[in-house]
Amino acid sequence: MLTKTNPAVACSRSIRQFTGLRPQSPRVRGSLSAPSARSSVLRCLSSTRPSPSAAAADPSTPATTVHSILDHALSHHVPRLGFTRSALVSSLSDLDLSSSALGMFPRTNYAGREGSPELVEEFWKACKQDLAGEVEADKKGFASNPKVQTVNGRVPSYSVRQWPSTGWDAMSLGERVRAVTLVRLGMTTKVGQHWADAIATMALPHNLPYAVQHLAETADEIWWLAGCRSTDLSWYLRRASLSLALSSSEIHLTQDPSLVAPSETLSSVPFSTTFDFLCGRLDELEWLKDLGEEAGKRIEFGVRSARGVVEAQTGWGRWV
Amino acid sequence: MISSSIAPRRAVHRAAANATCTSRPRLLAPVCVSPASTSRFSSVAGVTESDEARSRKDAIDALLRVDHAGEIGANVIYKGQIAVLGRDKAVRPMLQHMLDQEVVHLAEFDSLLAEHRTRPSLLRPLWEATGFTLGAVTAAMGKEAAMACTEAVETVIGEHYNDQIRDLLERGDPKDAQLIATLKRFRDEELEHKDIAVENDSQQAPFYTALSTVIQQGCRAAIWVAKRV
Repeated sequence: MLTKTNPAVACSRSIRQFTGLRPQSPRVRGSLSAPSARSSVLRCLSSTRPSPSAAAADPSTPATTVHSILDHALSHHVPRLGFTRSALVSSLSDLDLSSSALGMFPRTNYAGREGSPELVEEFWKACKQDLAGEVEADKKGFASNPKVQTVNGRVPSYSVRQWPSTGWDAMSLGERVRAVTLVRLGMTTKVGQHWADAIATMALPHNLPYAVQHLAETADEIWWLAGCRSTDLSWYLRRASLSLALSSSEIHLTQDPSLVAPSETLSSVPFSTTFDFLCGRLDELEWLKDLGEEAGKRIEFGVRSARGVVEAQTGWGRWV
Repeated sequence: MISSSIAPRRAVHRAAANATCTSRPRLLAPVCVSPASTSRFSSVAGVTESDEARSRKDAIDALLRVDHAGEIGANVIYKGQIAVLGRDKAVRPMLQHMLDQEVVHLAEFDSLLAEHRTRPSLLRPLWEATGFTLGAVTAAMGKEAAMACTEAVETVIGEHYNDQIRDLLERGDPKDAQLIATLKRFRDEELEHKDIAVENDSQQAPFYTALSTVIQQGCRAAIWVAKRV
C-alpha cells in the first residue's frame, strides 16, 4: 500500500534518523505532541483520558524513537490499559507506526506475555527524574504556608502533611528520607490500579535484574535528595533497607482499600493505608539503627574496659 | 498520508533488527560493561550522549573509589604505626605529620565521593583491618621496618596517582582540571612521605627487599580490587 514514495527521500530520512544526526534536541523528538519533558508524563498519568491531539503526528520530521513511543504510551494509554503490550500497540497506532515496531521492545514480546517491562522501566525512569522537582515544590509550598491544607489550589502531597512544623532545613535525615520516600510512593499510587500487574511483570526471572537495578537507583536518589553523604558501609545499609521498605510498601499498595472503594476514603488522603504502612516500616528501620548503635557502644565499652584491666595488671601498653 | 508514513515504518523495521542487543543492567560492576557493547543499540534509542556520559562517570567513579579506599588504608597504616611507636619521641611527630596530611586527603575524597555520587568501596572494613595490622606489625618490627612499609606503600600510591593523572590528561576533558590539580597535590605529598621514610633509614630494615616487595604487590592487588568492589 505504501509504494508511491520516493525511496531516496525515505532512505535519507531513515539514515538521518538512526545515525544520531538529529535536527532537534534528543529529548524532544519529532513533532509529537507527546510529552517533551518528563514531568508532563507523570502529570498526564493522573488524568485517564487519552489526548486525541497526539494522534496527529507530523510526518515531515523523522524522529520516532523508542523513548517517544514509551513516553506516549505512558502518558496516554497506561492509565487505561496498564503496563501492557496493548498500551504499546495503541501508542504505535497513534504515532502512525507499523505494529512491527514492537520488535524494538524484545522483552515485551518475550514468550508472548502481555506485560511490558520496558514500559514499567520507563515509568521508573520518569519517576526518578521528577522526584527532585516534586520535593522542591513541596519545600516551596511548605515554606509559603506550613499550616494550610491546600498549596496553590491543590491538596498537598501526603508527605508535606507529615512534615514537622520546623520545615525542611530543621528536619533530621530520617525525617527527610521519610518525606522524599512518601513523595516517591505517591508517584506509584498514580498507577495503583495497574501496579499489581507491573509487579507481576517485573518479578519474572528475566526482568528481575532490571527491577533490582531500578530499585537501587531509586533508593540512591531518595537518600541523595534527603542529604545523605556517607562514605562508609552505612551507604550500603541505608540503600538496602530503604529498598526493602519501599518495595514492600509498593506491594502493599496493590491491596490498598482506595483501589477497591475510592469513594469511602476520599474524606482522608487516598492510599493513606499504604502511606501509613511505609511510615511503619521506616520507624522499624530507625529502631534497628538505634539498636545497632547501642550494641556498638556496648562493645566499645567492653573493649575499653578489657584494655584497662590488661594495662593495670601487666603495666604493658598505654597505647594511643 | 500514504507517502508520508513510509519513512518512519522503514526506519522502524531497521531499528527493530538492531534492537535485539539491549544493554544489561549494571548493578555493582560498572567497569565490566564496555562502551562498545551498548553503542549499537544507542543509535536506535538515541542515547549515544548519555552512554558516553555513563562511561565517563564509570571511569571517574572507579578512580574516586580506589583513591578513597587508598586514603583509608594510608590513614589506618599510620594509626597502626602510631599505636606501637607512639611513645618514641623522635618518631611520633613525623608519623603524626604524615597522618595529619592523610586525614586531609581522606576528607577531600569523602566530599568528592559525595559530590560525584560514587558508592564507596564495599570492602572498607577489610582495608581498615588490613591497614592497621600492617602498620602495627611493621612498627613492632622496629622503626626501620615501619619506614620501609611507608616507603613501599607510598611508592605504589605515587605511581598510582601518576597513572590516574596521565589517564585524565590523555582524555583531555576540561571538567577534570580541578580533579587533576587535587591528584597532583596529593601525589606530591605522598612522595614527600616516601622521602621522609628513606631519610629515616627505611633501607636498613630487616628483610628490606622481601618486605618491600610483599607490601608493594599487596598494595597493587588492593588497588585492583578496590577499583571493582
